[in-house]
Amino acid sequence: MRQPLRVYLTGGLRIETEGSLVRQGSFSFPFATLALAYFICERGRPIPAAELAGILRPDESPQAAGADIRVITQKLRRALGRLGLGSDLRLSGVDIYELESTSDLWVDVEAAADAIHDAEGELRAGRPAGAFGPSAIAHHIARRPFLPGERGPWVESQRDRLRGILVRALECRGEVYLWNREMPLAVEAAKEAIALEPFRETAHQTLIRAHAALGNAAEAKRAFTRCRELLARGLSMSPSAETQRVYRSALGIERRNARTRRGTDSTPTMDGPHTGTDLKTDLQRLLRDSYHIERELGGGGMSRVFLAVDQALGRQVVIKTLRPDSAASFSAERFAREVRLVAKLQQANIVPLLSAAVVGGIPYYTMPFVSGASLRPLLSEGAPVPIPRVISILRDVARALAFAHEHGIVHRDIKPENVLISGATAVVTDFGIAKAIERAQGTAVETRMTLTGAHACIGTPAYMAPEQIAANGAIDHRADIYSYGIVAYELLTGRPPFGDPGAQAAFGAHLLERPRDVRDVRMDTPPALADLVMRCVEKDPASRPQTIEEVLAVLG
Amino acid sequence: MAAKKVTCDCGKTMREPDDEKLISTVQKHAKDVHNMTLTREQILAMAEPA
Repeated sequence: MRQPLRVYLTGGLRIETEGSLVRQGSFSFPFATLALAYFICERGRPIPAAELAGILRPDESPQAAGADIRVITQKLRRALGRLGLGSDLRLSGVDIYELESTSDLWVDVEAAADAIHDAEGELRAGRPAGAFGPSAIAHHIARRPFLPGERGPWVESQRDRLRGILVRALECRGEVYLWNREMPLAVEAAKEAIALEPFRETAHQTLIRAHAALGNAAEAKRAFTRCRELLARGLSMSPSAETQRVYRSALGIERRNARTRRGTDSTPTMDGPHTGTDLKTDLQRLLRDSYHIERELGGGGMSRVFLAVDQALGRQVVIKTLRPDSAASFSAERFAREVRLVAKLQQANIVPLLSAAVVGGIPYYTMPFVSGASLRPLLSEGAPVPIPRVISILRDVARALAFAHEHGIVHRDIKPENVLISGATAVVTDFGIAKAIERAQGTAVETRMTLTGAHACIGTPAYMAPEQIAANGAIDHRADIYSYGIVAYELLTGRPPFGDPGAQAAFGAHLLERPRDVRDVRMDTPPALADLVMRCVEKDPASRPQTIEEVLAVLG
Repeated sequence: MAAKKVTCDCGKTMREPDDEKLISTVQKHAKDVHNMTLTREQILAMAEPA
């Protein structure tokens, strides 16, 4: 079987065919290596000379660089011919250039991006062994320098992208080695990830686990202390509840706490978040006979969700409340004002608000219990969602957004978990509640979100618009359109455009990475739908559809 | 054919004069030392000039 033409852009330009080296090292004439790299990464797309000038000669005007571009591309054509690659890589055009690959082409940076998606997918699916190979590819490629010796904004953006892949690869390696009981290698991977991204709590968690598994409690404690110090110094924050749980669990502190509570052990314990039992019990006591709380359904970064029975009407409702630590700086008056706005949303694709109140300092609101599942299980099945089904769901969600936007309400947290499937209809839940809580707290919660990852969440990292991450106060309904686009991308392809990295990596990807065209991932996507989705996930709000009605017009 | 190498996370560097030998050596190391499987394509993706 014929092997692909292999192009390595990391560690210096290298081209191989059939296992033999065709070219190693940069071309001697200036900018040719950079031009070839750009053409390869953008192959199959017409590239105007002005765009190429911006990549190769960013400091010069396109007019001044124009003559250079013609010389560079002519020399590049001749060089490809001399290397015997003229029929594999055809560079055509004069003022608009296009590189066409007639051979099967493998490019290392693209392989790294694919590999890290695969590795994270394997880990999410509970198959660490399957993540070993892909994470090794991503790690090996991403740790090499991209086009050493070359400069410019495009080169820098590619280096940033590879750096993000490297951190994710190290994190995957750490998890794989933890599972494979190769603790020293897990320690090394986690330490390297932390050196690159000191606030990446998941890497700190791996380090704590690995030290604890090695039986080295002192090192595990040191790792936790270091995490706490880094976060305090850099972000004025404490480790997340999850990191604290990992630490307690790794050292068996949870078990000792339990014994302490039973009065059989007097071992001192560290402070932890409120337990689920405490809040549920408190809330039930405060609600008295109005609602009977049956069980906890889950929750997000700031909230807890319970299934309860409205005793007067005998129907099931969902009660959502703030976590105690989030409720500390809470204004009941502002909450009530915002909730009154949200209560106006009465539309078939919106789960309505039934009631809202504050009892004993705990704010809560109730919504009907929708017995269907959210979009998440549908996405987790792994099978592609049929295109007509995708369009139907997207149309329902767009209708919900259109109604809310018309009433001046931005959702701010559109994600699969907030889209529920009730029969053949998709309904959106949690409308405007994020904003209500934020205003009620009277603080720029999103700023904290940016700095702390998933610790105090309004918005979900994998679905947040770039302007939401920047928290510049200029968020409008177009942030919902971006998140809607990310959900649409995931519905079509089975995964969000940037995978499911940690919070910090997700922020970087939303701000800097360009998602792969949805048609490259799912080929049967209708062109009009694919174009719509790609427009929705544009970084610049001005480049997205300006209203959700525009989206509805395409969906029909 | 150009000589290539793969350096494992455990620090072991494997150099071979051609792709086929490298694939065989790396696969054996992955199995013997880490009890893991690597495909031919995965090893070629990781390889770099020796």
